[in-house]
Amino acid sequence: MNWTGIVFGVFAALMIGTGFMWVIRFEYYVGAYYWKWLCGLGIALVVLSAFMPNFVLSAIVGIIGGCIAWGAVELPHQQERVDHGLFRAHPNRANHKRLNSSERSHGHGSKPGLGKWWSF
Amino acid sequence: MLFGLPLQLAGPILAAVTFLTIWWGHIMVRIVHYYFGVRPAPIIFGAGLLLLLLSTQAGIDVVSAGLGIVGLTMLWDAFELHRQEARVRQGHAPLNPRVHREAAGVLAATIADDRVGSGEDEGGVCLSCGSTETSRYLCRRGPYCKVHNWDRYPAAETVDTAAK
Repeated sequence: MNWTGIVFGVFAALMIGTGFMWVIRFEYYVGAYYWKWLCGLGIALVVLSAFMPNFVLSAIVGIIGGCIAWGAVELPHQQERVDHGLFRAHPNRANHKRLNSSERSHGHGSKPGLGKWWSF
Repeated sequence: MLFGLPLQLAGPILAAVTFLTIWWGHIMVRIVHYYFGVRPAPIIFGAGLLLLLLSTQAGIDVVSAGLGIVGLTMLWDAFELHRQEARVRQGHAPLNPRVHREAAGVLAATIADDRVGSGEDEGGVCLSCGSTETSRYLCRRGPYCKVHNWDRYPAAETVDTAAK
């Protein structure tokens, strides 16, 4: 009986759940403009995980890094969702730095949630 | 070995497994829900349980952890099918009329409802969700809501901060 899988499965599920929350809040308070910095942070954590002293630490840092990288690529889509009114917009949102939406407009088209089949 | 340190490949491998599982989980939920509705949810739940069972029998820790992550994500995705059904009913996700008959009825009723009351909520408080122009909450009318002011950020007039 190897409990490793269940333990890290639960841990990954918790991290994904946390990701749902921080992506919404990061878009609200900071804005999706800085998504590349977060993506870099996630990749840096993944690289760092390769230099951890043991399996458990390596797996924990790796899973957190993967989830942060995922959340970073989700931020531009969150910006679109807020544009479409699915989530609350920050009262001062007009003054936040903004991603050029045409740059990444492959996401959800004119309606939210209608991405390409392969899109995030 | 790199710089005299032993490399732990488990971290990067599990990071890739996590990233790909979330990505393909999103896609799988959309495709499965579009073609089959919520009916396959118990099958996906069962497949997730099976993968978790396999993970307890795996001899290698990385394989066990990978199976565990995929298995638990599939348990989650079984519930996500029902959330996708809610999105379809709100008009936020693609509707397949041959499969989503109930959702099609709900959405048609919502749109008809909007047509009747379309003159009432222009520029005020949304009668459906209570949001104003500056406070936007999840609205069952979705893209059809007048108060939400969908053209607030038109693509052409968006300030291109990246170019500056």
